[in-house]
Amino acid sequence: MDWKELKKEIETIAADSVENCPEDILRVFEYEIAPEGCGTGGLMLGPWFDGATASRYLIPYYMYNIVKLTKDLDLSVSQIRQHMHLTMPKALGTAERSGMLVLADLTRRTMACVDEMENRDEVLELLNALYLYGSSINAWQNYRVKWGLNQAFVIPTGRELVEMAKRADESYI
Amino acid sequence: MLHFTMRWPDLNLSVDCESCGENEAALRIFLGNMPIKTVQGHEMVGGWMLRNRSVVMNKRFFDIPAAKLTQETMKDAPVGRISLLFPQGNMTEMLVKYDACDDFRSYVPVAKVADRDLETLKKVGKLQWQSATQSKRAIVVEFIAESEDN
Amino acid sequence: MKTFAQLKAEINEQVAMTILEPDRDVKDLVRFAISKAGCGYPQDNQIFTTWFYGTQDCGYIADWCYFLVELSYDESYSMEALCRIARFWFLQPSHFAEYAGLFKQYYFIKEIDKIMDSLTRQEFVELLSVFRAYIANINVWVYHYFPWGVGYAFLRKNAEYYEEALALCE
Repeated sequence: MDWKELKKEIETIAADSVENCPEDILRVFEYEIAPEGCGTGGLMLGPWFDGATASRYLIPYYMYNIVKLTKDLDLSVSQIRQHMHLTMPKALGTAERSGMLVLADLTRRTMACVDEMENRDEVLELLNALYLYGSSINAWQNYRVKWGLNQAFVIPTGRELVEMAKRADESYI
Repeated sequence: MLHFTMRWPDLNLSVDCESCGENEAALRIFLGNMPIKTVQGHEMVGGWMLRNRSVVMNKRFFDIPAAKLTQETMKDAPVGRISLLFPQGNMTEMLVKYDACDDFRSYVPVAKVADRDLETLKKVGKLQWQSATQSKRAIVVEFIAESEDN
Repeated sequence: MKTFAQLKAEINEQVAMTILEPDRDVKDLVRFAISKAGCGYPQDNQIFTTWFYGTQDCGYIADWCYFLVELSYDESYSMEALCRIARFWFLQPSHFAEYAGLFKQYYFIKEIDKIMDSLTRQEFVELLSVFRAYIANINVWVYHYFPWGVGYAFLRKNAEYYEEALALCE
């Protein structure tokens, strides 16, 4: 595919995701729907915990770092490819396995496209487009995580810890 | 044929393992670091796999570059497959497939659990899953080299 | 400032101590839910968001070290470039993990940062490798203590589930 077409496709999807929650995120984080095999034992906590982190690292960290290092260290296109193939596959696989299918598809196609490109400025344009989409994914995941779970894990105060320790021998186990 | 044993003393269970024909140089380095102990873990996204998130290698430095290691997905691997993830330097992660899984991520296959021990492996897997999701009992796994060839 | 040998030995000691026993930082944070640097307190006084963000960085900091060692095998990267990349990659997540309560790993990162420019390529590889083993050990305990069983309240759903739910809504 021509890089400009791919960039345009990514930008269209990214523009839509500014106000509309991407479907993958609605499925996985809101409605707990995922492909068969996603989440060991059918538990969604793994895809949420691992998948959101993988998505966060895949684009906002790894892709951002590649773009930044290209400028800071004057990386060549060949080195950009090297960094992409070194840093991204593991997180990409986890994000994809966690149900982030559109993100994974666009990332794979971007990497395949970059493998064929020679003009560094064009590569950076394409990567920046994906970076904006990936950032949007990260934002929506953070929005949709069931943060109400938080309240099952209240932080004990120092005083409470002392009180617990004093009464340790009352514990059954 | 390279052999080693995976043992869980807390469970009184063990399985025999052997090379799978791939990445033998990597397996030799791993064997050269034995005996190794680590706290057993479980995969939480990709399916029924034991996952050791830190297998420390203190005796022989793992210095095979990633490009020289072959990979396969766990989805395509048979039950009993033992694979490494990011083996390098003083540490590797390890996954052991003990039942069906759709994990299409790539790992470095190095060994397999002997067919006669697959039921034992599955039993360990279920107990580890119980630990991960309920009891939080820390289960230790040991890797012990067996063959004189190692 | 520590020498390479001193720092490597210090980290190695912690690697050995954390293989079968948790580091105090990770036990306090994930088993006991203690917030030492205030992480989580402003967000409704809970530790879950700290687990979600801070502890997950452990595995990825280990991966940054892996990537750096792989890059170091490529002689086209000077030591100066590798050090710049290293600082660019792992300082921030390690600093955040410190805010989450994982103090020791950040202490090690800062010590590595201090001497990085003086390291040979081989020393760079060895130091990052041993630190990777340490942070990976911490990651083991993060995953061990994390309450995965809560996930049984959030099981994967399918069309049949929602069709039944829809029928009950009518």
